[in-house]
Amino acid sequence: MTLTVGIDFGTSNSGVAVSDGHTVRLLPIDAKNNIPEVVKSILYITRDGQQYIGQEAVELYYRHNVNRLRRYVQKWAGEIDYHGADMSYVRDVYVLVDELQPGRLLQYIKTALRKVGGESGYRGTQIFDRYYSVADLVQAYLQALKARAEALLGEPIGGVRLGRPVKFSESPEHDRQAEDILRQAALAAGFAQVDFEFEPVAAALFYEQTLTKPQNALIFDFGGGTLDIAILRLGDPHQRTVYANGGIGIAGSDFDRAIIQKRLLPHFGLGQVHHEPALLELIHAVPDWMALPDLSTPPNRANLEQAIARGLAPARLRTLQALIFNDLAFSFYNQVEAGKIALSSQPAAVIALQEQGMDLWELYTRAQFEKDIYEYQQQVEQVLLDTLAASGLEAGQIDAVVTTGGSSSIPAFTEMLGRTFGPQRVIASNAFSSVTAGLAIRAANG
Amino acid sequence: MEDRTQPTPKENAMLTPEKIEEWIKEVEERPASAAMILRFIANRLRELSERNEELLAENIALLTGKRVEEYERRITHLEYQLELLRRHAGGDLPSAEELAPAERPAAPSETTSLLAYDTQGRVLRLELPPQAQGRPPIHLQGEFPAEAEPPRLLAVTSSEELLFIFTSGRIATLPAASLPAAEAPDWESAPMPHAPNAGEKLACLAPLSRMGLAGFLVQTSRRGYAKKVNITLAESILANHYIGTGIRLPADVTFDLALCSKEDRLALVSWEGWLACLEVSGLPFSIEEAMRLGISDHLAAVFVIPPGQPLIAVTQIGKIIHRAAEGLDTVDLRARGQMLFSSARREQGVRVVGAACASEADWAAALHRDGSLSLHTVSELFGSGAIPTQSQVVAFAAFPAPAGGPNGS
Repeated sequence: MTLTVGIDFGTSNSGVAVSDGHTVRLLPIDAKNNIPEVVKSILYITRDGQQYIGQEAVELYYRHNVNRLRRYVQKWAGEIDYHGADMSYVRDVYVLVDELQPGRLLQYIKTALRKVGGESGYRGTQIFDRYYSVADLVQAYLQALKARAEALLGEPIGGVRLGRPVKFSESPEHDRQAEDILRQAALAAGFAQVDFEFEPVAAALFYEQTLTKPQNALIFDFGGGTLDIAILRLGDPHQRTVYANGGIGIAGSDFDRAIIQKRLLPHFGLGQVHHEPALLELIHAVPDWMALPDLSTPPNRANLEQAIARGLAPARLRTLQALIFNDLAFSFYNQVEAGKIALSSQPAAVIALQEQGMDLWELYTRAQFEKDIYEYQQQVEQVLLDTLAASGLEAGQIDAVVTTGGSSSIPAFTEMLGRTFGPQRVIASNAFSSVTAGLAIRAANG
Repeated sequence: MEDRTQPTPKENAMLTPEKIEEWIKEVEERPASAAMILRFIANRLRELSERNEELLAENIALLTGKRVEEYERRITHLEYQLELLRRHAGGDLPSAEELAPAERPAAPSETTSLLAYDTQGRVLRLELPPQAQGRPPIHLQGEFPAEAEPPRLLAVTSSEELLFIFTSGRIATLPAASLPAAEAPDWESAPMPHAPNAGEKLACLAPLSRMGLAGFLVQTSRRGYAKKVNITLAESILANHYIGTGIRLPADVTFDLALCSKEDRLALVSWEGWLACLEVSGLPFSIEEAMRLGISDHLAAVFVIPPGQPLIAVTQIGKIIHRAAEGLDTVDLRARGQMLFSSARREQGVRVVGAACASEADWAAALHRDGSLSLHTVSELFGSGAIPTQSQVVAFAAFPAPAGGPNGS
């Protein structure tokens, strides 16, 4: 009999679990992580094609990149056709490429699946000499995950029950396209049998194990990339009913970006730099930490140096320079995320980065955070009410609201659920592992 | 009129009244948060207060002129270096005498020293006397066995900054002035300012003070490989204490690091008597073979060729080989170069122990296998054609005559 595992391939974190039909075993898939049962959904591909995931990828990225030498060369990237009323011409496009770049770090690979649809959808990326399609990137990550799981289990894995969001996309065609890519990637990663389950349904299956009598449950799965909601009748495996599913592409990474945009960009010169498009472009790129290493080019350095020499916001632009040219973007982003997480359990947090020429310090309160994500809160509440309406149930008919995913711990959302359904009905499940565990249960049940 | 094009420091402050209002609002809404917010602000205040103390001290140093004095001393050093460069460049730059009296730098109170160092990291600093000619040799306690790699010589001024390059690619810096002068030159008890780590050796010492005027660092290996590094990377190299091994062959080690400009030519002289003059602009940025060496051959000297200066090479028996400046033809990468002596003499066992480009006014130093260190003027060596030696010459260096000496400025 082939071994089938459950894999939660999340936007920020992933996990692998196996069940024998009675008990669920969450695999310590990343021994270097603070929670070994959770592995960061990060992929690092080196110049020689080696692939690393999780904490190992992060550590290697740091070891390779911080304070490293760079050598930029101009490379032909393609050509642009210009068409005017009475003329047209072709122009070559060159890009500056760092010849000494040791590797590329990729996060939010799953988000790429949400963007594959349509003519102008995201297809993939060039990494050194090889073009990686979205399927190639997902395959590389799943392959590494499978290898680790097999090493822990001591036997080969035949099949996988993969979690997927309720909606990759609002368009059914793009949604199917994203699932097909995920299936192809899993098959290419070496899984002979690939099946799917909605992530909130998986979380519900895990929760169902604690029930002694049937009840209506609302699963609020709020992670790094998406919010997924499912309303189900649970407690009797023979009469399990899904009343409604809903979701929206808002989650933890959007909140991180909101914090940076609304609170931290002034530390890098926003508000002090005006009418300088080249500098403003650099400042507005700060929320996208993966793009920052590509901005560490000699022309950008020269622009910053000249502005600093002119006395234009020198302290702020020096901070921006340190962020871009010392490869501190990932550290910075981690600090922002850590500050956000801290606000779930305390009323205030400090977002600080004081290294290599940077002295960034921002006292951030829960009230400020709630103000910054207010629009997102409104949208989440709307999706919640829409899903409830689609289920045909009243709020009072929901027996339990089960929260899972890192963002579900944010007090503003817990309070919102409490307001709608009553605080006593809101039950916090394991934030990072309940979907993984539910997928393992689903895999064992076939 | 007030300039409103730039924001004032008050406007630039990261702590805005709006933010403070938001903190107060948080405390009003959730009074339990007050203690935590207060603690965060107090910690930050303490940090800033410590930094303020440092800035106040710096401000006092600026106001009292202490910092200005420091900068003046550094400017004097730099002007002296410029004067040395002028001499190297052959007088294209205005001399100190040509400068108006008010512009003329104060005479630098610098001394020239000769450093003898070996692969174990031992460095002896010997202060040079005002006269080279006719002076009895200094005797270093201890001999240099034929099978061991002999020490190397380097002349530096007291304001020089030294770069220690180890075979592992690690580097360290040290001001030459911080090396104690060896009164009784005992090789066995020579100081080791930067001892090599386990498994590594000191590959070479390189002077750094002209770095600001150079365009490239050129790292050469014993087996004739070379790479150049843009000087813009020097800051990062020094900060990381790592330049790289500079080798491609497993048994190879770094031999030398030269500061070069784009227009310079670099001379590579081998142990078996080959000379390759290479354009720095043509050297590779990656480690590549720069000079084709025989299986038993290795580099004996690497130096920048100053325009118009002849080359002087010394064999192990003290014989001087002279090449006029116009005879130093540039060759391509990976060429073997020109012969400094005939094949017959090579087969007889004649080998080059050191070489340099020098003018007649310069000085030269030779270290002999019995431990004696002799000083000469280059004009004397050109005249006699040999360095008298009781044993063998193992190392050789030529350098500008020290300031205050008969040939010095």
